[in-house]
Amino acid sequence: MDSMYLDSPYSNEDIVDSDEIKFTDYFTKNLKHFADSFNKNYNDLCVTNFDKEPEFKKEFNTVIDESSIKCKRKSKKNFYNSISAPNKVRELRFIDSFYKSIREYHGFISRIDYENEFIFATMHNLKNESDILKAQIEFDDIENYESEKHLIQIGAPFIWIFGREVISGREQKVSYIRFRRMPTWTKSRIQDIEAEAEETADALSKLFSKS
Amino acid sequence: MPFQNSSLKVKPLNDEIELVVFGKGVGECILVHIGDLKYILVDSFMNPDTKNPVSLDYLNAMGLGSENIELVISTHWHKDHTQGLPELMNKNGNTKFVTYGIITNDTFLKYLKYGTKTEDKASNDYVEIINMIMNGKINKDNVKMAVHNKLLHNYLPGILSHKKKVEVYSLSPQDSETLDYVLDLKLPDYGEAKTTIVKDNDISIVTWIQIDDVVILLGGDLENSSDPSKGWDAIVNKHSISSLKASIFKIPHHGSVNGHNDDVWIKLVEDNPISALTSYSSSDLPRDEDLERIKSLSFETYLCGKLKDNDKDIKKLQKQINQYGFDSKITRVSNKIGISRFRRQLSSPNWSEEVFGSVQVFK
Repeated sequence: MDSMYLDSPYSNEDIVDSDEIKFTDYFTKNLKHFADSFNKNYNDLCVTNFDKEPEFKKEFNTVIDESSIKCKRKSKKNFYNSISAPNKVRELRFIDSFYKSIREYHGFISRIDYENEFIFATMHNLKNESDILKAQIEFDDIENYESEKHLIQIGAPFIWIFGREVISGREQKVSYIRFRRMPTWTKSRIQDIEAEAEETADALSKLFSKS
Repeated sequence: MPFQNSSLKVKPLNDEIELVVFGKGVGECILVHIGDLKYILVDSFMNPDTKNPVSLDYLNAMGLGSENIELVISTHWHKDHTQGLPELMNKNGNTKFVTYGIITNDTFLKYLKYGTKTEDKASNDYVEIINMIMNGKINKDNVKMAVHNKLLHNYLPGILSHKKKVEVYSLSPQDSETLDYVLDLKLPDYGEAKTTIVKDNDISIVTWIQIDDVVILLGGDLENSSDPSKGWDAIVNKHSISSLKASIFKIPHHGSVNGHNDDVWIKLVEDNPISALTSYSSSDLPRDEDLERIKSLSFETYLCGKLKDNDKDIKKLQKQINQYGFDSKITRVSNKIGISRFRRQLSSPNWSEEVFGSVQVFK
């Protein structure tokens, strides 16, 4: 879901400051109602969480369309006074609801067995430090192996994603292993690094020669 | 949580030597108590539960702290050996720090700086330490450059309450090794892609700790070389520190066959010593044949940090992976800390052993 629109009555009494906007009960109720109907409509598309039964979280983030607030938030008073029309909620984003079924591991190659066409890798789940996997990955499992081949070397970083996600209301299966394409060294970058290293070497040599 | 164990919290006696080996699958750390609650730290990794260096959690559990560490040896800059070293040095800048003479070499520094730009954590740790030396956070007079057979730290007899002498030597790297190492460093050229820089264990520091007539040999990650003037052959051939042999051996390079040298077991360690090692799950070390070899040469073998977890969820995950069209096989890497602790009063002929957490013991 890219963005959704919701017209809503708006009261300024619960606006606390320019950074954090608290909604009135009325406004919140409207959003929840919207969320519920969304939930109902898309319930069939809510994918199975790997660990739990299908669920739909009713938490949501809202972002006010700044352009519809006809004021610059110089002061709270000005801000309160300036709101004259219902504001559009540009985005209603359901936190993680559609992405909970995605598992994402970041790994690096520790060994390559060309004969049997395997790579051995250690993979880390960035959301759960204790979830570290060791994998024996077949070359065939690597998406676009031919074009990725040159990237396969010991220490090469890759990402492994699998699961299901909902994009624009459609459920999709996602599964791929892709190697990270590191940016190339530029001449200026190399010069900067080398100059920095030479400076450090010089400073350290002077430091230790003093003693 | 091994640090909650009540027997772990018991401090060593002033005249009790202690060797503590910590492992986590990817991570190695060693503490040696030389007497009077003075410790030597060799390498470091972080405790994922507390986000502290594991050595600090251990010392804190006993009511001690970083001030009890008076010498830090960084055997080499692989990330399973460096994590937490900057934090420890930051807490106590008066601690002696052992590294290499090549830290002032501009090629080596370029190599490290390139490493930091390729998100190499170990290079970042090392550069952080170098910056601490430059800005005076680590006193330059406390920085020791390790080379073969160099006395790094000592106490003359009568200084510590056990009245015995303490000597800490580096047995490596050899001069030729560091020179060749710098010459062989490959720096990237422009137009090349950034890749993770793979480094060697060629110049890993091996440490010989002698307290009275008790010797502990810590093998770092040093491997064998085809050149007899390098690697373990060079250490054996040039060894002239003492005729004593080590009764405890921290096996080099996670028990790999590349780190094994028959002459070390004949000339540097006692027959059937106690062997301690840490696993390195990324490369499946030690392999079964490595463990068999080490067990056959040792009185007892302690492996800290298991390679695999017997996790029920892993079967479910494997099934899901297959459902998504992958034929790959996975195992869960154990992330649990294992601690092997060996203590020995100087008047006693034997070591006593205790294990906490994820440790496999082979007797």
